[in-house]
Amino acid sequence: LAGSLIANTTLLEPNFMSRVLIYSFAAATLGGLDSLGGAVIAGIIIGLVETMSGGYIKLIGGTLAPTTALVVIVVVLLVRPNGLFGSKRVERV
Amino acid sequence: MASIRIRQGTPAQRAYAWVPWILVALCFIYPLFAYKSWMPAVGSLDQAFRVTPINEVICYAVAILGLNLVIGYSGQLSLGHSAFVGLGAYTTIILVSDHNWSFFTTIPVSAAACFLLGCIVGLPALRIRGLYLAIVTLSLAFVFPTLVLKYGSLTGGPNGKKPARGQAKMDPPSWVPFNNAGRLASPLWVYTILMVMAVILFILARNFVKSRPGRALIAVRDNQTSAAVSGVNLPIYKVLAFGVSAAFGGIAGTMLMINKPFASDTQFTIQLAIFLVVGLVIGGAGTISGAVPGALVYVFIPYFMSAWTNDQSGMPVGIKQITRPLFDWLSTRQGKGAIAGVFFGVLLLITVFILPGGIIDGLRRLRARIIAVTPNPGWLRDRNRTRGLKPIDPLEDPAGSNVGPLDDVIADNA
Repeated sequence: LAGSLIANTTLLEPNFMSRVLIYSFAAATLGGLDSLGGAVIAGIIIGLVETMSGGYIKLIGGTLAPTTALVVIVVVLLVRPNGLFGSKRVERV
Repeated sequence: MASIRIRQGTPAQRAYAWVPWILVALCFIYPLFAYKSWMPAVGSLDQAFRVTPINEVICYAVAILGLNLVIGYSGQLSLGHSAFVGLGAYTTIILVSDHNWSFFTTIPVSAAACFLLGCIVGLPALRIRGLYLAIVTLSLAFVFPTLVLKYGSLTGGPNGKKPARGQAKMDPPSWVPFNNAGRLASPLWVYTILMVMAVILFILARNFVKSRPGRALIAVRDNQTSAAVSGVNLPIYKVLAFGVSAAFGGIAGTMLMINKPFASDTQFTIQLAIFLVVGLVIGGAGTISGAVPGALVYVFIPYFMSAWTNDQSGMPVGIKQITRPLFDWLSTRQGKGAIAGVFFGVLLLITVFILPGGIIDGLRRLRARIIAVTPNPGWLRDRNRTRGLKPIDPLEDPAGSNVGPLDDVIADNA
Protein backbone atom coordinates (compact mmCIF):
# COMPACT_ATOMS: atom_id res chain seq x y z
CA LEU A 1 0.00 0.00 0.00
CA ALA A 2 2.76 2.43 0.94
CA GLY A 3 4.51 1.43 -2.27
CA SER A 4 1.56 2.38 -4.43
CA LEU A 5 1.24 5.72 -2.64
CA ILE A 6 4.93 6.52 -3.07
CA ALA A 7 5.01 5.46 -6.69
CA ASN A 8 2.93 8.52 -7.59
CA THR A 9 5.52 10.94 -6.25
CA THR A 10 8.66 9.46 -7.71
CA LEU A 11 9.76 7.75 -10.84
CA LEU A 12 8.94 4.07 -10.84
CA GLU A 13 12.18 2.16 -11.11
CA PRO A 14 13.55 -0.96 -9.46
CA ASN A 15 15.58 0.93 -6.88
CA PHE A 16 13.03 3.57 -5.93
CA MET A 17 12.13 1.82 -2.70
CA SER A 18 15.60 2.11 -1.22
CA ARG A 19 15.01 5.74 -0.20
CA VAL A 20 11.68 4.83 1.34
CA LEU A 21 13.38 1.96 3.14
CA ILE A 22 15.91 4.28 4.71
CA TYR A 23 13.28 6.76 5.82
CA SER A 24 10.97 4.16 7.26
CA PHE A 25 13.90 2.63 9.12
CA ALA A 26 14.80 6.07 10.37
CA ALA A 27 11.28 6.83 11.56
CA ALA A 28 10.93 3.47 13.28
CA THR A 29 14.26 3.94 15.03
CA LEU A 30 13.55 7.47 16.13
CA GLY A 31 10.20 6.51 17.59
CA GLY A 32 11.52 3.35 19.15
CA LEU A 33 11.46 -0.03 17.49
CA ASP A 34 8.67 -1.40 19.66
CA SER A 35 6.32 1.55 19.59
CA LEU A 36 3.70 2.02 16.87
CA GLY A 37 2.62 5.54 17.78
CA GLY A 38 6.24 6.55 18.11
CA ALA A 39 6.86 5.63 14.49
CA VAL A 40 4.02 7.88 13.32
CA ILE A 41 5.21 10.87 15.34
CA ALA A 42 8.83 10.26 14.42
CA GLY A 43 7.91 10.02 10.75
CA ILE A 44 6.30 13.46 10.93
CA ILE A 45 9.31 14.88 12.81
CA ILE A 46 11.79 13.51 10.29
CA GLY A 47 9.83 14.80 7.34
CA LEU A 48 9.49 18.27 8.86
CA VAL A 49 13.12 18.54 9.93
CA GLU A 50 14.32 17.47 6.54
CA THR A 51 12.24 19.83 4.42
CA MET A 52 12.55 22.80 6.75
CA SER A 53 16.30 22.56 7.19
CA GLY A 54 16.66 22.15 3.46
CA GLY A 55 14.51 25.21 2.85
CA TYR A 56 15.73 27.60 5.51
CA ILE A 57 19.42 26.87 5.99
CA LYS A 58 21.39 27.79 2.92
CA LEU A 59 24.45 25.66 3.62
CA ILE A 60 22.34 22.53 3.74
CA GLY A 61 20.30 23.21 0.64
CA GLY A 62 18.80 20.36 -1.30
CA THR A 63 21.65 17.89 -1.33
CA LEU A 64 22.31 17.64 2.38
CA ALA A 65 18.67 17.60 3.47
CA PRO A 66 18.52 13.83 4.11
CA THR A 67 21.66 14.18 6.20
CA THR A 68 20.02 16.51 8.70
CA ALA A 69 17.27 14.00 9.38
CA LEU A 70 19.87 11.36 10.12
CA VAL A 71 21.81 13.74 12.36
CA VAL A 72 18.59 14.28 14.32
CA ILE A 73 18.27 10.53 14.76
CA VAL A 74 21.83 10.17 16.01
CA VAL A 75 21.40 12.99 18.50
CA VAL A 76 18.08 11.67 19.79
CA LEU A 77 19.45 8.15 20.13
CA LEU A 78 22.41 9.47 22.08
CA VAL A 79 20.03 10.98 24.61
CA ARG A 80 17.51 8.16 24.57
CA PRO A 81 19.17 4.95 23.33
CA ASN A 82 15.84 3.19 22.81
CA GLY A 83 14.22 5.91 20.74
CA LEU A 84 11.69 8.49 21.84
CA PHE A 85 8.95 6.07 22.86
CA GLY A 86 10.78 2.78 23.07
CA SER A 87 10.59 0.66 26.19
CA LYS A 88 13.71 0.20 28.21
CA ARG A 89 15.56 -3.06 28.00
CA VAL A 90 16.43 -4.91 31.15
CA GLU A 91 19.91 -6.29 31.17
CA ARG A 92 20.57 -9.62 32.81
CA VAL A 93 23.80 -11.40 33.35
CA MET B 1 33.48 -39.44 15.08
CA ALA B 2 36.28 -38.66 12.76
CA SER B 3 37.31 -41.40 10.42
CA ILE B 4 41.03 -40.55 10.42
CA ARG B 5 42.92 -39.87 13.60
CA ILE B 6 46.34 -38.30 13.69
CA ARG B 7 48.41 -38.17 16.81
CA GLN B 8 49.92 -34.86 17.80
CA GLY B 9 53.66 -34.52 17.27
CA THR B 10 53.90 -37.17 14.56
CA PRO B 11 55.16 -36.35 11.06
CA ALA B 12 51.64 -36.90 9.75
CA GLN B 13 50.31 -34.23 12.05
CA ARG B 14 53.04 -31.82 11.07
CA ALA B 15 52.27 -32.40 7.40
CA TYR B 16 48.58 -31.91 8.15
CA ALA B 17 49.38 -28.55 9.71
CA TRP B 18 51.73 -27.33 6.98
CA VAL B 19 50.46 -28.69 3.67
CA PRO B 20 47.29 -26.57 3.57
CA TRP B 21 49.37 -23.42 4.03
CA ILE B 22 51.73 -24.45 1.25
CA LEU B 23 48.72 -25.09 -0.99
CA VAL B 24 47.31 -21.65 -0.12
CA ALA B 25 50.65 -20.03 -0.92
CA LEU B 26 50.73 -21.85 -4.26
CA CYS B 27 47.23 -20.57 -5.00
CA PHE B 28 48.47 -17.03 -4.30
CA ILE B 29 51.44 -17.42 -6.62
CA TYR B 30 49.52 -19.25 -9.34
CA PRO B 31 47.78 -16.23 -10.99
CA LEU B 32 51.20 -14.68 -11.67
CA PHE B 33 52.06 -17.50 -14.03
CA ALA B 34 48.63 -18.62 -15.18
CA TYR B 35 48.88 -16.65 -18.41
CA LYS B 36 52.07 -18.40 -19.50
CA SER B 37 51.53 -21.01 -22.14
CA TRP B 38 53.30 -23.79 -20.24
CA MET B 39 50.92 -23.45 -17.35
CA PRO B 40 47.55 -25.19 -17.44
CA ALA B 41 45.02 -22.38 -17.11
CA VAL B 42 42.15 -22.80 -14.70
CA GLY B 43 38.95 -20.98 -15.45
CA SER B 44 39.51 -17.82 -17.44
CA LEU B 45 42.93 -16.96 -16.07
CA ASP B 46 44.62 -17.72 -19.38
CA GLN B 47 45.30 -14.05 -20.03
CA ALA B 48 47.06 -11.59 -17.79
CA PHE B 49 44.36 -8.91 -17.80
CA ARG B 50 41.90 -11.39 -16.32
CA VAL B 51 43.79 -11.01 -13.04
CA THR B 52 42.07 -7.63 -12.51
CA PRO B 53 38.94 -9.07 -10.82
CA ILE B 54 41.22 -11.06 -8.53
CA ASN B 55 42.88 -7.79 -7.55
CA GLU B 56 39.44 -6.51 -6.67
CA VAL B 57 38.83 -9.62 -4.57
CA ILE B 58 41.99 -8.83 -2.59
CA CYS B 59 40.85 -5.26 -1.91
CA TYR B 60 37.37 -6.28 -0.79
CA ALA B 61 38.81 -9.10 1.30
CA VAL B 62 40.73 -6.48 3.28
CA ALA B 63 37.55 -4.40 3.61
CA ILE B 64 35.57 -7.41 4.86
CA LEU B 65 38.43 -8.26 7.19
CA GLY B 66 38.08 -4.82 8.77
CA LEU B 67 34.32 -5.20 8.99
CA ASN B 68 34.84 -8.55 10.65
CA LEU B 69 36.79 -6.93 13.46
CA VAL B 70 33.84 -4.79 14.42
CA ILE B 71 30.94 -7.15 13.62
CA GLY B 72 32.45 -10.58 14.07
CA TYR B 73 34.74 -9.92 17.00
CA SER B 74 33.30 -7.01 18.95
CA GLY B 75 29.68 -7.83 18.07
CA GLN B 76 28.59 -4.33 17.06
CA LEU B 77 26.52 -4.23 13.90
CA SER B 78 28.12 -1.62 11.66
CA LEU B 79 26.51 -0.91 8.30
CA GLY B 80 28.65 2.12 7.51
CA HIS B 81 31.73 0.40 6.21
CA SER B 82 31.28 1.70 2.67
CA ALA B 83 31.92 5.22 3.99
CA PHE B 84 35.30 4.16 5.40
CA VAL B 85 36.30 2.42 2.19
CA GLY B 86 35.13 5.50 0.30
CA LEU B 87 37.01 7.91 2.57
CA GLY B 88 40.19 5.91 2.11
CA ALA B 89 39.72 5.84 -1.65
CA TYR B 90 39.02 9.57 -1.86
CA THR B 91 41.92 10.45 0.44
CA THR B 92 44.24 8.54 -1.85
CA ILE B 93 42.86 9.84 -5.09
CA ILE B 94 42.80 13.48 -3.94
CA LEU B 95 46.35 13.35 -2.59
CA VAL B 96 47.60 11.65 -5.73
CA SER B 97 45.88 13.78 -8.34
CA ASP B 98 45.86 17.19 -6.59
CA HIS B 99 49.02 17.05 -4.53
CA ASN B 100 51.21 14.71 -6.57
CA TRP B 101 51.74 12.18 -3.81
CA SER B 102 52.64 8.65 -4.70
CA PHE B 103 50.09 5.93 -4.02
CA PHE B 104 52.16 4.27 -1.32
CA THR B 105 52.68 7.35 0.80
CA THR B 106 48.92 7.88 0.96
CA ILE B 107 48.38 4.56 2.74
CA PRO B 108 49.21 5.83 6.25
CA VAL B 109 47.25 9.02 5.63
CA SER B 110 44.06 7.25 4.58
CA ALA B 111 44.46 4.70 7.38
CA ALA B 112 44.84 7.50 9.93
CA ALA B 113 41.93 9.53 8.51
CA CYS B 114 39.68 6.48 8.59
CA PHE B 115 40.86 5.55 12.07
CA LEU B 116 39.80 8.99 13.29
CA LEU B 117 36.44 8.87 11.54
CA GLY B 118 35.92 5.34 12.84
CA CYS B 119 36.60 6.45 16.41
CA ILE B 120 34.11 9.29 16.00
CA VAL B 121 31.49 6.89 14.64
CA GLY B 122 32.32 4.51 17.45
CA LEU B 123 31.42 7.10 20.07
CA PRO B 124 27.62 6.71 19.65
CA ALA B 125 28.17 2.96 20.01
CA LEU B 126 28.93 3.54 23.65
CA ARG B 127 25.29 4.35 24.30
CA ILE B 128 23.45 2.85 21.37
CA ARG B 129 23.29 -0.88 20.80
CA GLY B 130 21.98 -3.51 18.45
CA LEU B 131 19.56 -2.47 15.73
CA TYR B 132 19.69 1.18 16.75
CA LEU B 133 23.42 1.20 16.21
CA ALA B 134 22.89 -0.45 12.83
CA ILE B 135 20.61 2.43 11.81
CA VAL B 136 23.08 5.05 13.01
CA THR B 137 25.93 3.49 11.06
CA LEU B 138 23.65 2.94 8.09
CA SER B 139 23.03 6.67 8.07
CA LEU B 140 26.78 7.17 7.70
CA ALA B 141 26.77 4.99 4.60
CA PHE B 142 23.77 6.96 3.35
CA VAL B 143 25.37 10.35 3.98
CA PHE B 144 28.76 9.63 2.42
CA PRO B 145 27.71 9.80 -1.28
CA THR B 146 25.71 12.98 -0.66
CA LEU B 147 28.76 14.59 0.97
CA VAL B 148 30.84 13.59 -2.03
CA LEU B 149 28.33 15.29 -4.30
CA LYS B 150 28.09 18.34 -2.06
CA TYR B 151 31.82 19.04 -2.10
CA GLY B 152 32.25 18.45 -5.80
CA SER B 153 35.18 20.83 -6.20
CA LEU B 154 37.27 18.55 -3.99
CA THR B 155 35.87 15.17 -4.90
CA GLY B 156 35.00 15.62 -8.55
CA GLY B 157 31.29 15.33 -7.79
CA PRO B 158 29.17 13.09 -9.98
CA ASN B 159 31.88 12.82 -12.62
CA GLY B 160 34.18 11.00 -10.27
CA LYS B 161 37.84 11.72 -9.81
CA LYS B 162 40.92 10.25 -11.35
CA PRO B 163 44.51 11.39 -11.87
CA ALA B 164 45.02 13.39 -15.03
CA ARG B 165 46.44 11.55 -17.99
CA GLY B 166 50.16 11.04 -17.64
CA GLN B 167 50.14 12.45 -14.12
CA ALA B 168 50.90 10.28 -11.09
CA LYS B 169 51.56 7.32 -13.27
CA MET B 170 52.34 4.45 -11.05
CA ASP B 171 55.51 2.49 -11.68
CA PRO B 172 56.15 -0.91 -10.20
CA PRO B 173 58.48 -0.80 -7.20
CA SER B 174 61.86 -2.38 -7.72
CA TRP B 175 61.10 -5.47 -5.61
CA VAL B 176 58.26 -6.56 -7.86
CA PRO B 177 59.43 -9.11 -10.43
CA PHE B 178 57.48 -7.47 -13.25
CA ASN B 179 58.21 -4.30 -15.18
CA ASN B 180 55.71 -1.99 -16.76
CA ALA B 181 56.63 -3.12 -20.25
CA GLY B 182 53.87 -4.77 -22.18
CA ARG B 183 50.23 -3.93 -22.02
CA LEU B 184 49.30 -7.00 -20.01
CA ALA B 185 51.99 -6.87 -17.35
CA SER B 186 50.34 -4.13 -15.29
CA PRO B 187 47.62 -6.21 -13.56
CA LEU B 188 50.30 -8.72 -12.58
CA TRP B 189 52.52 -6.35 -10.65
CA VAL B 190 49.48 -4.67 -9.15
CA TYR B 191 48.44 -8.17 -8.07
CA THR B 192 51.85 -8.71 -6.48
CA ILE B 193 51.69 -5.45 -4.54
CA LEU B 194 48.11 -5.96 -3.38
CA MET B 195 48.78 -9.54 -2.39
CA VAL B 196 51.80 -8.57 -0.30
CA MET B 197 49.77 -5.79 1.37
CA ALA B 198 46.86 -8.11 2.01
CA VAL B 199 49.03 -10.84 3.52
CA ILE B 200 50.60 -8.29 5.88
CA LEU B 201 47.17 -6.93 6.84
CA PHE B 202 45.74 -10.40 7.45
CA ILE B 203 48.66 -11.29 9.71
CA LEU B 204 48.21 -7.99 11.55
CA ALA B 205 44.51 -8.67 12.02
CA ARG B 206 45.19 -12.18 13.25
CA ASN B 207 47.72 -10.91 15.76
CA PHE B 208 45.32 -8.18 16.83
CA VAL B 209 42.58 -10.71 17.46
CA LYS B 210 44.86 -13.05 19.37
CA SER B 211 46.33 -10.31 21.52
CA ARG B 212 44.93 -8.66 24.61
CA PRO B 213 42.71 -6.09 22.80
CA GLY B 214 41.31 -8.82 20.56
CA ARG B 215 40.39 -11.01 23.52
CA ALA B 216 38.83 -7.98 25.19
CA LEU B 217 36.69 -7.42 22.08
CA ILE B 218 35.53 -11.03 22.09
CA ALA B 219 34.63 -10.68 25.75
CA VAL B 220 32.61 -7.56 24.93
CA ARG B 221 30.82 -9.45 22.17
CA ASP B 222 29.94 -12.42 24.32
CA ASN B 223 28.72 -10.50 27.31
CA GLN B 224 29.25 -6.82 27.76
CA THR B 225 28.48 -6.72 31.46
CA SER B 226 30.73 -9.62 32.39
CA ALA B 227 33.48 -8.14 30.24
CA ALA B 228 33.22 -4.88 32.13
CA VAL B 229 33.22 -6.74 35.42
CA SER B 230 36.35 -8.63 34.35
CA GLY B 231 38.19 -5.38 33.89
CA VAL B 232 37.70 -4.64 30.20
CA ASN B 233 37.49 -0.92 29.61
CA LEU B 234 34.32 -0.89 27.51
CA PRO B 235 34.46 2.64 26.02
CA ILE B 236 38.08 2.34 24.92
CA TYR B 237 37.71 -1.09 23.35
CA LYS B 238 34.44 -0.34 21.59
CA VAL B 239 35.86 2.81 20.04
CA LEU B 240 39.10 0.99 19.24
CA ALA B 241 37.18 -1.73 17.41
CA PHE B 242 35.49 0.86 15.21
CA GLY B 243 38.73 2.73 14.64
CA VAL B 244 40.79 -0.30 13.65
CA SER B 245 38.01 -1.63 11.47
CA ALA B 246 37.73 1.74 9.73
CA ALA B 247 41.50 1.87 9.22
CA PHE B 248 41.36 -1.50 7.47
CA GLY B 249 38.49 -0.18 5.37
CA GLY B 250 40.52 2.89 4.45
CA ILE B 251 43.49 0.81 3.37
CA ALA B 252 41.10 -1.29 1.32
CA GLY B 253 39.94 1.92 -0.35
CA THR B 254 43.53 2.87 -1.14
CA MET B 255 44.12 -0.60 -2.55
CA LEU B 256 41.05 -0.23 -4.76
CA MET B 257 42.56 3.00 -6.08
CA ILE B 258 45.90 1.31 -6.73
CA ASN B 259 44.02 -1.27 -8.74
CA LYS B 260 41.82 1.20 -10.65
CA PRO B 261 42.63 4.87 -10.03
CA PHE B 262 39.09 6.18 -10.31
CA ALA B 263 36.69 7.13 -7.52
CA SER B 264 33.06 8.15 -7.88
CA ASP B 265 30.11 8.50 -5.52
CA THR B 266 28.28 5.53 -7.04
CA GLN B 267 31.04 3.16 -5.95
CA PHE B 268 30.63 3.71 -2.23
CA THR B 269 26.89 3.62 -1.69
CA ILE B 270 24.75 1.89 0.87
CA GLN B 271 24.71 -1.14 -1.42
CA LEU B 272 28.42 -1.65 -0.93
CA ALA B 273 27.95 -1.50 2.85
CA ILE B 274 25.19 -4.09 2.77
CA PHE B 275 26.97 -6.39 0.35
CA LEU B 276 30.10 -6.25 2.49
CA VAL B 277 28.05 -7.46 5.44
CA VAL B 278 26.52 -10.18 3.24
CA GLY B 279 30.00 -11.23 2.15
CA LEU B 280 31.09 -11.30 5.77
CA VAL B 281 28.19 -13.53 6.83
CA ILE B 282 28.66 -15.89 3.88
CA GLY B 283 32.40 -16.11 4.44
CA GLY B 284 32.10 -16.50 8.18
CA ALA B 285 31.74 -13.83 10.85
CA GLY B 286 34.32 -14.11 13.58
CA THR B 287 36.94 -15.85 11.44
CA ILE B 288 39.94 -14.10 9.92
CA SER B 289 40.06 -16.24 6.79
CA GLY B 290 36.32 -15.85 6.22
CA ALA B 291 37.02 -12.55 4.49
CA VAL B 292 38.50 -14.35 1.49
CA PRO B 293 35.47 -16.48 0.47
CA GLY B 294 33.29 -13.49 1.33
CA ALA B 295 35.17 -11.26 -1.10
CA LEU B 296 35.25 -14.00 -3.75
CA VAL B 297 31.48 -14.25 -3.54
CA TYR B 298 31.08 -10.48 -3.55
CA VAL B 299 33.17 -9.96 -6.69
CA PHE B 300 32.59 -13.09 -8.72
CA ILE B 301 28.86 -13.67 -8.37
CA PRO B 302 27.91 -10.47 -10.21
CA TYR B 303 30.82 -11.04 -12.57
CA PHE B 304 29.81 -14.53 -13.60
CA MET B 305 26.08 -13.90 -13.40
CA SER B 306 26.28 -11.14 -15.98
CA ALA B 307 28.74 -13.12 -18.08
CA TRP B 308 26.69 -16.29 -18.04
CA THR B 309 23.37 -14.67 -18.78
CA ASN B 310 24.94 -13.40 -21.97
CA ASP B 311 26.98 -16.42 -22.91
CA GLN B 312 26.77 -19.80 -21.26
CA SER B 313 29.84 -21.27 -22.94
CA GLY B 314 32.20 -20.28 -20.14
CA MET B 315 30.27 -22.14 -17.48
CA PRO B 316 31.70 -25.25 -15.80
CA VAL B 317 30.37 -28.34 -17.54
CA GLY B 318 28.57 -29.98 -14.65
CA ILE B 319 26.71 -26.84 -13.66
CA LYS B 320 25.82 -25.90 -17.21
CA GLN B 321 23.50 -28.85 -17.78
CA ILE B 322 21.62 -28.26 -14.56
CA THR B 323 21.20 -24.53 -14.82
CA ARG B 324 20.66 -24.21 -18.56
CA PRO B 325 16.88 -23.71 -18.40
CA LEU B 326 17.34 -21.03 -15.76
CA PHE B 327 19.93 -19.12 -17.73
CA ASP B 328 18.03 -19.58 -21.00
CA TRP B 329 15.09 -17.97 -19.30
CA LEU B 330 17.22 -15.24 -17.73
CA SER B 331 18.86 -14.26 -20.98
CA THR B 332 15.48 -13.40 -22.47
CA ARG B 333 14.75 -10.94 -19.65
CA GLN B 334 15.58 -7.30 -19.46
CA GLY B 335 18.10 -6.01 -16.94
CA LYS B 336 19.70 -9.40 -16.69
CA GLY B 337 22.81 -8.16 -14.91
CA ALA B 338 20.69 -7.08 -11.95
CA ILE B 339 19.84 -10.71 -11.23
CA ALA B 340 23.02 -10.94 -9.17
CA GLY B 341 21.26 -9.16 -6.31
CA VAL B 342 18.61 -11.89 -6.19
CA PHE B 343 21.31 -14.54 -6.07
CA PHE B 344 22.98 -12.70 -3.22
CA GLY B 345 19.76 -12.82 -1.25
CA VAL B 346 19.19 -16.51 -1.99
CA LEU B 347 22.79 -17.36 -1.21
CA LEU B 348 22.61 -15.47 2.07
CA LEU B 349 19.48 -17.38 3.10
CA ILE B 350 21.00 -20.72 2.12
CA THR B 351 24.19 -19.91 3.99
CA VAL B 352 22.38 -18.89 7.14
CA PHE B 353 20.31 -22.09 7.08
CA ILE B 354 22.98 -24.61 6.11
CA LEU B 355 26.18 -23.02 7.36
CA PRO B 356 25.27 -20.77 10.26
CA GLY B 357 28.92 -19.95 10.85
CA GLY B 358 29.70 -19.21 7.20
CA ILE B 359 31.81 -21.05 4.66
CA ILE B 360 34.96 -21.20 6.77
CA ASP B 361 33.14 -22.58 9.79
CA GLY B 362 31.46 -25.18 7.56
CA LEU B 363 34.82 -26.26 6.15
CA ARG B 364 36.24 -26.55 9.64
CA ARG B 365 33.39 -28.73 10.81
CA LEU B 366 33.73 -30.90 7.71
CA ARG B 367 37.43 -31.27 8.40
CA ALA B 368 36.77 -32.19 12.00
CA ARG B 369 34.51 -35.01 10.80
CA ILE B 370 37.21 -36.47 8.56
CA ILE B 371 40.42 -35.87 10.45
CA ALA B 372 40.89 -35.49 14.15
CA VAL B 373 44.14 -34.66 15.90
CA THR B 374 44.52 -36.62 19.09
CA PRO B 375 46.47 -34.86 21.79
CA ASN B 376 49.62 -36.62 22.87
CA PRO B 377 50.63 -34.98 26.10
CA GLY B 378 54.34 -35.32 26.59
CA TRP B 379 54.29 -35.41 30.37
CA LEU B 380 52.10 -38.51 30.46
CA ARG B 381 54.30 -40.31 27.95
CA ASP B 382 57.51 -39.43 29.80
CA ARG B 383 56.03 -40.29 33.15
CA ASN B 384 54.93 -43.71 32.09
CA ARG B 385 58.30 -44.39 30.52
CA THR B 386 60.21 -43.46 33.67
CA ARG B 387 57.90 -45.49 35.87
CA GLY B 388 58.23 -48.51 33.63
CA LEU B 389 54.54 -48.58 32.77
CA LYS B 390 53.18 -49.48 29.38
CA PRO B 391 53.45 -46.46 27.06
CA ILE B 392 50.15 -44.74 26.51
CA ASP B 393 48.64 -44.83 23.07
CA PRO B 394 45.78 -42.36 22.91
CA LEU B 395 44.72 -43.87 19.58
CA GLU B 396 43.97 -47.18 21.23
CA ASP B 397 42.98 -45.77 24.54
CA PRO B 398 41.22 -42.46 24.09
CA ALA B 399 39.57 -42.73 27.48
CA GLY B 400 42.94 -42.89 29.21
CA SER B 401 42.17 -45.99 31.29
CA ASN B 402 45.76 -47.14 30.85
CA VAL B 403 47.22 -44.10 32.52
CA GLY B 404 47.88 -45.93 35.73
CA PRO B 405 47.53 -44.53 39.21
CA LEU B 406 47.89 -40.78 39.16
CA ASP B 407 49.10 -40.46 42.75
CA ASP B 408 52.43 -38.91 41.72
CA VAL B 409 50.67 -36.26 39.64
CA ILE B 410 48.39 -35.48 42.52
CA ALA B 411 51.38 -35.24 44.83
CA ASP B 412 53.18 -32.91 42.40
CA ASN B 413 50.24 -30.57 42.26
CA ALA B 414 49.48 -30.59 45.95
